[in-house]
Amino acid sequence: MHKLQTISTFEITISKNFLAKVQDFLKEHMDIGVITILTLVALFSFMFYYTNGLGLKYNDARSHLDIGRRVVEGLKPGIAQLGSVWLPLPHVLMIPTIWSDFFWHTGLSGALVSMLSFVATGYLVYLFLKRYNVGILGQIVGVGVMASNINTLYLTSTAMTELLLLATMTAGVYYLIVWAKDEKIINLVKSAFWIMLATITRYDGWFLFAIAALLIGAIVLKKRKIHAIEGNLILFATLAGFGIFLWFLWNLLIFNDPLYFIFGPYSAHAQQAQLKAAGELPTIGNFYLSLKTYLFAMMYNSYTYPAIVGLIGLVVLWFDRKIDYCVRIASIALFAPFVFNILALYLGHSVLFLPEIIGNTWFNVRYGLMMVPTLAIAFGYIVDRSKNYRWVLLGLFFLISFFSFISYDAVTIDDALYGASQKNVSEVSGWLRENTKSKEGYILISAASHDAVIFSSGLPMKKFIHEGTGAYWDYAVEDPDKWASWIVLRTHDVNDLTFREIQDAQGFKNFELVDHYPFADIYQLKPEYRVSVITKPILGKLK
Amino acid sequence: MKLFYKNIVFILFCAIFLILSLRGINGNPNASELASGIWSEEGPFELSPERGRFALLYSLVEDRSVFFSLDVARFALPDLGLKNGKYVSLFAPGVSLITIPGYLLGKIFGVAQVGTFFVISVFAILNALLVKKIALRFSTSEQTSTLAAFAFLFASPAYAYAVNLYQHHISTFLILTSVYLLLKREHILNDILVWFLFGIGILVDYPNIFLMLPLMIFMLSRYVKHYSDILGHKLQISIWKAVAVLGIIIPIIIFARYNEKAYGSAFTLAGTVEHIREINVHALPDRFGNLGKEEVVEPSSYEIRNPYEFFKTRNLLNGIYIHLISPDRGILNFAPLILFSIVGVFELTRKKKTAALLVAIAGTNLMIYSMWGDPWGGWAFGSRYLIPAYAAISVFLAVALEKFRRDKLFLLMVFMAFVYSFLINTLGALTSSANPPKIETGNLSLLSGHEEKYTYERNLDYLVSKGTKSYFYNRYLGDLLTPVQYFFLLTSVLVSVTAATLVHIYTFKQENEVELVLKTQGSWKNIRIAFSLADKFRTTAKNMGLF
Repeated sequence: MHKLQTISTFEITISKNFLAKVQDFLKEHMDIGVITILTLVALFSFMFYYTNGLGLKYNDARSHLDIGRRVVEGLKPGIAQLGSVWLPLPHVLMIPTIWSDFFWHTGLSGALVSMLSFVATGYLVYLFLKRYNVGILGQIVGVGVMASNINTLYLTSTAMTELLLLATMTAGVYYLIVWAKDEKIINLVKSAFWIMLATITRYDGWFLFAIAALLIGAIVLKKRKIHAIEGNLILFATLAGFGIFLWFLWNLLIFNDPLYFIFGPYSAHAQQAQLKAAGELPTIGNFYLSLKTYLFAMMYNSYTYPAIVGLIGLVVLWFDRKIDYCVRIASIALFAPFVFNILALYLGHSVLFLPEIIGNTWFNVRYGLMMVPTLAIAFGYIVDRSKNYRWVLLGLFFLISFFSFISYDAVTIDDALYGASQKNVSEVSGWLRENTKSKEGYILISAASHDAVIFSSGLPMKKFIHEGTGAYWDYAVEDPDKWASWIVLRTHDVNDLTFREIQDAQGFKNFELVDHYPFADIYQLKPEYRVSVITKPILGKLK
Repeated sequence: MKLFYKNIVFILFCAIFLILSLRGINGNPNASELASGIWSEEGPFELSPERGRFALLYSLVEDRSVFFSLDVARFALPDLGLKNGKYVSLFAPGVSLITIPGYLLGKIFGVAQVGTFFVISVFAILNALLVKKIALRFSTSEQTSTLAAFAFLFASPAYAYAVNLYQHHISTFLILTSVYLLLKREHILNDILVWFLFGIGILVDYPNIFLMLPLMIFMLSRYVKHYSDILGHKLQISIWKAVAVLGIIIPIIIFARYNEKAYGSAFTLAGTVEHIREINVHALPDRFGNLGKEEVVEPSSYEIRNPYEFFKTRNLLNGIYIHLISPDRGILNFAPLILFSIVGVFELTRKKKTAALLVAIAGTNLMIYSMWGDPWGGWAFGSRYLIPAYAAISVFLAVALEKFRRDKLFLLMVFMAFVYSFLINTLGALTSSANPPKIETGNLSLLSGHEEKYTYERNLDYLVSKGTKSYFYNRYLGDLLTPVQYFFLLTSVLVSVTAATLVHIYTFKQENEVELVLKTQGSWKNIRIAFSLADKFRTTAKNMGLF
């Protein structure tokens, strides 16, 4: 027995010098290592969801891609195509690539932004943990919590805006805590810059802007005298609020109403008003239900266990005296998405459906993802601080992650596949592709209602006359038979802009219904009227 | 043996209580009698997990077969398997095999079922003893570790499942024994034994693979040792310790042999065979029988295609709520005392590395069964799936009591939690485990025409209206006491013993004069200690702030 012990016991000696070199190497190259791994994960994620066809399942993803495309191609391309409802940054960032049909139709144009944002957010989680004096294990775990979340990975591979928002918000808060510690103005400017980008990505950023301003006031008050608040706040607000100012200006210039994005016909407000009228907005005025709904969305998006441990971590962090008090105050900004989403539900500005909690299907459940970076930071932090129990926390995390991959658990995918966020428009788009691709003539369609059809048809944007094509649209809804060879609309639905505009038009009678689908009907100009229909872009781009 | 001798009073106390609470009726039932109401719904085999396991035991012993006769098959419904035209068990065979000696012994005295159930009680006593011994390893005193053991055995749903035929106490025993072995001095024989227990664990209940995973990882991690000296860091990898894996061979052979016999293949699991819910009047299997109240709930009793599919992270939130907070199963309602252990967990954060092993077991237990599709455990009393976690976490109650032994408020709160938990769990042990999940009560109320309760209130109603299922009470005390009096008698004894122990903990310091005198009571050499001891007793009431 003793002989067996001797021959089968191996001893590896690692000299202190070698270990020190390894540590130095890790310290020196950790950043690049984190970025490289995150990049590989992002690439793999995109490839995986692209090849299995899930990458463009969100109706909104297709709409985002179309908005970007309309800026560079269509009957009336130009910057005005950025529209009024969705904030412009995600679409602006698509412009360099969206001109390519490959980038447009694979969704890569938008996914590229999401992938870069994923890498940036993961890296920021790592930087956050370094700032909190968390050891290497905690740093890796924090990044791992974010990067191993299937919901995050799925949205990384799509043309949705959540990842970009996460990256800009996390960067804004990161520089806020850096500034809270070192008080260097440059860091306040950096924070303002990233928060400004967040404000032109999604409206969540606007709330972060307000919260950050409040926290800056509190931090300055804590550190100096009251008169310094004014200077810091002006500096911060001038840059951070610039995006919001531009958006008001944009709406004023393009739509003649600075509040068009709030009260316009396609605004969230208008959609929520319809839902409220239909009794499908139960969170409005109900704080408990709003809180419960968002908590559930957050838990589902983060697999519950990291969320529970993370929330405990945030409490511990708040009482951690090793971390500068002002840094802890600045860290409150990490809660901004949580408070924002609950308030938005409570005030009726947002809608979120979770089966068995609210509604009968999934809808917008991805909003719960907004807390994932915060929870990842808190999880990495608590793993570092929990000493003897860190391997327990980590082991349970591996167990949960293992089962999340085995059971392929991703609410964001369920939302995209079965929830209200999906639209199976393949029949309509398939008909258009087969019957109009090789023929001359325009398709009259409302982009607001049928952007997914436009995208899925694979036809060039210039084939469509939609509400963003200026005079083409104005003339076409007046005399559809002179301008359009086909019309796609939901008959008798006044929410469909095309139907609303042409229902009484004389020319509409010259069309015949050729196919009927759950999401839209297709009308084709009768053969006897086709001779005189316009099939070339005669108005030019300026009209 | 020394372990038992030293704890004889403790063991006897636990044994007496479990005997007084053990469910059962007199007689050695034959196959045709088993399916009758007196043995099934109204008797000791009230739910299908008990029936399924006893059915296999009965077939093995009486029919010398792993296949069920028609009568036994009817008894096992609605959790019955069908393979190659023969009725088989849907449960892992471990519990049935382990309880055979109890059945045989009981049969000699005309109480075959009581003997079978008593085997589970023996495991429960061993578990309490192990909780105590493990707690002692964390520098706790004899008294606090005894209270921790009481908390586990009598103040949690472990009590209700110590008097019937479920797998939980056997699984807990395997886990605690492994913990005990791993916390002792490292020795290859201990490792072999842990592998052996792991193999038995699979035989008893398939999810034990996950529940025992932290133990196996802990054991394997010890194969790599880290030393540091002037030259640098040394990693010593003891590959030879891998021979310990041989310990699993015997259980795996039994497992494979049973599977081959019953299901035709060594690696066919019990739950993978066809599930039969009813047998029709023509004695033929009915594959689409109505799902009754005892709808299959055991992890091992589902038709498994991919065993991992049973555990879904989407269920976690609901599962954690059910296990911890819900009125029908939550620890908060059934065993709030256990929650005081959290204080002990924090206390050991920086002190004892090995404490992490117990936290890992409790955490894995909670997570695994929160991911499980039926966290309620079907019709059950409290959260039965968490019995291993109750045991692991109870150890920390001893640590918490040790830490706050001079804190009156803490001790008072613990005492109140003890009283509440004793009342609830004694009620569960004496009556029935058939409490429906809350979500089922709506339809049940419609069917029955009256309100169907789902918390311990249901057990209280049972005690008042139907009495108790205690074999001892029904056999010997039924004429002397009412069931309610019997319930209060048992609870009063538990409360009194606990109160006395808490007073003792509060009054005396650890390893103080009392313990020194007790250890040397034969000699009484030190008269000064004896006097100070007398003084302590005299001033006890004053110390407690009663005057």
